[in-house]
Parts: sequence; C-alpha cells; structure tokens
Amino acid sequence: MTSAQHVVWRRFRFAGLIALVLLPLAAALGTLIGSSGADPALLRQAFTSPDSTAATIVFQVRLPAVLLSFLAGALLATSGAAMQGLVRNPLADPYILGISGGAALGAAFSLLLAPPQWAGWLTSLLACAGALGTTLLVASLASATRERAQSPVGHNLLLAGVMVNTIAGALLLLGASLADPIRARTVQLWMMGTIDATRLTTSTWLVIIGVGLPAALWLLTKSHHFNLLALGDSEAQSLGLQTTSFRRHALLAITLCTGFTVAATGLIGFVGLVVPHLIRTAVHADNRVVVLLSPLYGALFLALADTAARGLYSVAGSSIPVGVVTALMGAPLFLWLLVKRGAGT
Amino acid sequence: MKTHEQGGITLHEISVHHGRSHALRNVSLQIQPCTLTALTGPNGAGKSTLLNIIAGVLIPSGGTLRLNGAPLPTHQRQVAQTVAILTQQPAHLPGLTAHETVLLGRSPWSGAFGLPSHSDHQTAQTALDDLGIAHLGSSPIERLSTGERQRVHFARVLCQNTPFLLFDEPFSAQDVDGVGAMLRALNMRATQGHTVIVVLHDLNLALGAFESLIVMQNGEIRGHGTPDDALAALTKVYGQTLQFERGDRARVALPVWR
Repeated sequence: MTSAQHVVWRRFRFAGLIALVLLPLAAALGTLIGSSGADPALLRQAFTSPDSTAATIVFQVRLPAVLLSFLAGALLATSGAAMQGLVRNPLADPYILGISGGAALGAAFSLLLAPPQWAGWLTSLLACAGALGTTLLVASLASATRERAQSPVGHNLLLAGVMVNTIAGALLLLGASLADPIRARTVQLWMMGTIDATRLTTSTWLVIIGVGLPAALWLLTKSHHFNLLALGDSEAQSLGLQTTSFRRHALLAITLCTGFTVAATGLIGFVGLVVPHLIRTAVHADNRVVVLLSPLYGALFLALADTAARGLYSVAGSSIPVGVVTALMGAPLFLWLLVKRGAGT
Repeated sequence: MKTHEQGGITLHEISVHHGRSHALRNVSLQIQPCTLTALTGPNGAGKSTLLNIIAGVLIPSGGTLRLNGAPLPTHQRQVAQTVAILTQQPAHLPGLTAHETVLLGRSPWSGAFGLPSHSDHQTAQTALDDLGIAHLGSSPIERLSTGERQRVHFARVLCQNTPFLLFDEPFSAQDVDGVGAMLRALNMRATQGHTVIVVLHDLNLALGAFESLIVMQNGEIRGHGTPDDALAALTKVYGQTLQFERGDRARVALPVWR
C-alpha cells in the first residue's frame, strides 16, 4: 500500500532526474553540431582563443541558440500541458487551438509592414496581441456554441480553434503573397519556425524571459488545479477551485507564453502537443507530473530537434526549419501513442 | 436558544429561474444538524438544483442560505472545507488510480501542489475500506466498472470530510452490497456530527433507510418529515402509480402499472 501511494512521486523524481542529466548533454550536442556538421576542433579553438571566429560562432551563435531552444521548448510544452488540462482534451495545444496562428498573424504584420528598426519589440507586442485576440475569439465562440448545444467545454473549443487557425493561416499566406518578395520570404521561413538567436533583439529576449517565463512558472505552481478540473467544473469548484477565475488566468498565462515564443521563433508546432502526451503515457497521468515535467522535456525535445535541423543542413545543403523537424518527429510519435493507447483501453 | 435552532441547513425563500421557467420557487427549509435526509421527487422537481445551491456551486436568483447559522464563505477553498457534493456523473482523470482519485477529496485541506500528507493517505484508505473497495485502490480508474467508479467518487466525497455532505443519486449504479456499504458509511457520518442529504429515486430505500425525507415537485417542497409524515406527500405526488403499504418492519411503495 505504501509503495502504491508513492508511485507518483517516485516516477516523477526518476523522470525529472533523467531530464536533468540529458539537458546538459543536449546543450553540449547543440554547441558541438553546427551547419557544417560535428566539429570538435572548432569547439577546442573557441575555448582556447577567445578572439577567434570559432569563439564568436560558439558563444554568440550556438550557445544562444541552445538557450533559445530550451526557453521556447519549455514555454511551448508548458502551455500545451496547461491547455490540455484546461480543456480536458489531450489533443489540445495552443498550436492546434489557433493561438499560435493568431500570434503569427500579429507578428507578420510587423514583419511585413513595419520599418526594420521597430521589428524587435513590435513583433513581440503584436504577436502577443494576436495570441490574446485569438484566445478571446476562440473562447467566446466556444462558449456561444456551448450554451446552445449543451456540449462539453473542450469539444467546441477544439473545433472553433481549428477553424480560427485556418483563417489565421490563410490571412498569413495572403499577406505574404501581397508583400514584396524579400519580406515574403522572411515570413514564409518564419512561419515554419526557426531557432536563430542572431535574429533576435534584446527586447525579444527581455519579454520572453521577463514575462513568458514567469507566466510558465505560475502555471507550474498551479499544476494540481488541473487534476481537479479533470473531474468537471462543478466537482472542481466543490473541491475548492474558483474555476472561472482560474480558467481566465491560466488562459492569459498560456497566451503570454505562446505569444512571446512565437515572436522569437516563429511557428513551431507539436512540442506543446506531443511532449505532455508523452509524459502522460510514459511517466504518469497525474497533471502535476505532466505540467511540471513538460518544461524539462519540452526544452530537451526542441534542443534536439534544432540540433537535428542543423545537422541535416550539412547533409541537405539548404536550411531546414526546426518546425519541419518537430512535425516530422512529433506527428509519427503522436500517432504511435494514439494507436498504443487505443489498443490499451 | 435561537442560535441553537439555526444549526444545520437553513434555506429562506430560495428561487432559481432561467428566463421565465422556475427551477425552484421560494423554497424555505430547515434541515437539522447531524441528520441523514433523503431528497426525492419526480424528474425535474429541482432536487439537483437545490443540492447545487447548498453546495455553493449554483448561485440562486433570490433567497438566503445558511449553513450552521452562517452564510457560505466567500473563498471557494473555505466553501470546500464546509460542504462537499457528489454530482450525478463526475468525470475522472484516466491514469489515476482509485486511491489517487479518492485523495483528490483532500484538496481543500492540502498545501502547495496539493501534496497529500500521511494522514490524508490514511483518510483515503479508510474511505475505500468503508465502501468495500480497498482491493481496488491501485487499479486505474478507467478500468473500473460504472458502479465501482461511483463508489470511488463516493469515497472521494467522504474523504473531503466536511460538516455537510451532499450526494446526487449515489446509488444509481449500485448493487445491494454497494447500497449497504454507502448507507453504513452515511449513518456513521451522521452520528459523528455530519449533516447529510442524499437525492434518490428508490422510494423503498428512502422510506426504509432514512430518518427524514423531503419530497419535491415542480420546484417546490411538498413534504418534509419522518417517513410516516412523508407518506402523505408521496401519495399526493405519486398517487397515480404507487400504492403505499405499512408493513411490520417497513413501509413499502408498490408500483401499480396500469
């Protein structure tokens, strides 16, 4: 009996330790592998002569890229896990619900129309506004249809999200096709998601660390609330959760995480969907476990995906967006989980 | 003396309406503390609505509610430390075990990250024992049958251990043993000082196992009292289809299907 009681904690600790061991390894791998393949000599040179080109590449390109992939991965996975708990649906995440798409649309405005010197803070601001706008739109559409159809929360939110996402995507492509070719190319690349720290301005870093990260940390401290929400809103309420205000705050936190991440990296899908799902299946379904481990494994997943994207560059000879890699890694993994889960229950 | 009278549950002219239709019309009610009360009546009588109002899940359009003489606390956590409710069809988190699901009942009392204490684990274990499902403790909740799952949720509400305990049709999927275990647990709680209300449709069970009955119809209270007192109201409400008999050991409701 005692062993059964502590099973959650034991599994959480084990999976957490594994992630903490793997994260530095992923960081090392990310610094070692560049667009010209694995190059230990470059790394040695960077550490021995601080003024060399090698040092610039390692300390100003690769390490910041690792840091950015850690940050973006952590934020995307956390908001995905929180979203799945919020709508009680393992298929939900900000990417599928159109929040990322809204952020991208907002950011594309500044990329296509604003003068380049404004781009940094304006992109973040508009991305966040876009994310917030879509969240409000999707939530109100879902609740409007729910009142008439009397169906559960998650279902309509998902449907409304998919449609809003489609609209945002279409508008994004429309904007890109009307813009001049150079800017259009920037938007297209960015729509597929790239981890490129050299492109980021100080303000983009500031908002993602100063606002996005605290929002994610807040979600982590509330992870146990998602267990109560899983029982249904009235049950959660009778167990002491102020459901309406918690939903509102959690949506805001998710929106901030998503908006600022999209502003920094473009559209990277599947991290928020697959990482929480993987944890749920492999570690434990307790939402505390899922939400608390998501940032660690999200960081790991995205860092490895980005390293793979750069490694592939040396093979393919042209740049591969990390969003393509996450989709190619994530979607089959998700399908495998779906089949496995379907067979199990 | 007056404060003493205000113990238990006091409802004063509670109404609920959605547009023009009334779910409850000026319901006034006094339920004594430490009692086990059955709430019954036809479908759509307003039983669940009434229960949800007492639980603080639903806010009435008008009227006042007092639990042990005080209005519901403003903080939801304090409400959850006062009154617990089992709704008709609670959802579950697949992957959690029965024991972990029951432990969620301790949430209003636990600290950061909802971490349960050793005594929380014991309370959960006792609740599982009380319902005769201790052997299911480590089974994943989604693998259990509907009836077993209903017992797990019942145990979760017991585990919340609040002065007021509300159950909406807890027996609907139970076999005889399940009903027996639930009734024993409820009687024990009532003797320990909890005030318990159970919504149910089985009139024989209501008449035979409860010391106090409330009969509702069309959003109004039709009768409230001992099983003998309630018989008159039940006859009025169900007189077309039911015939009530008083046996030696119990009163029975016999359906007359015509």
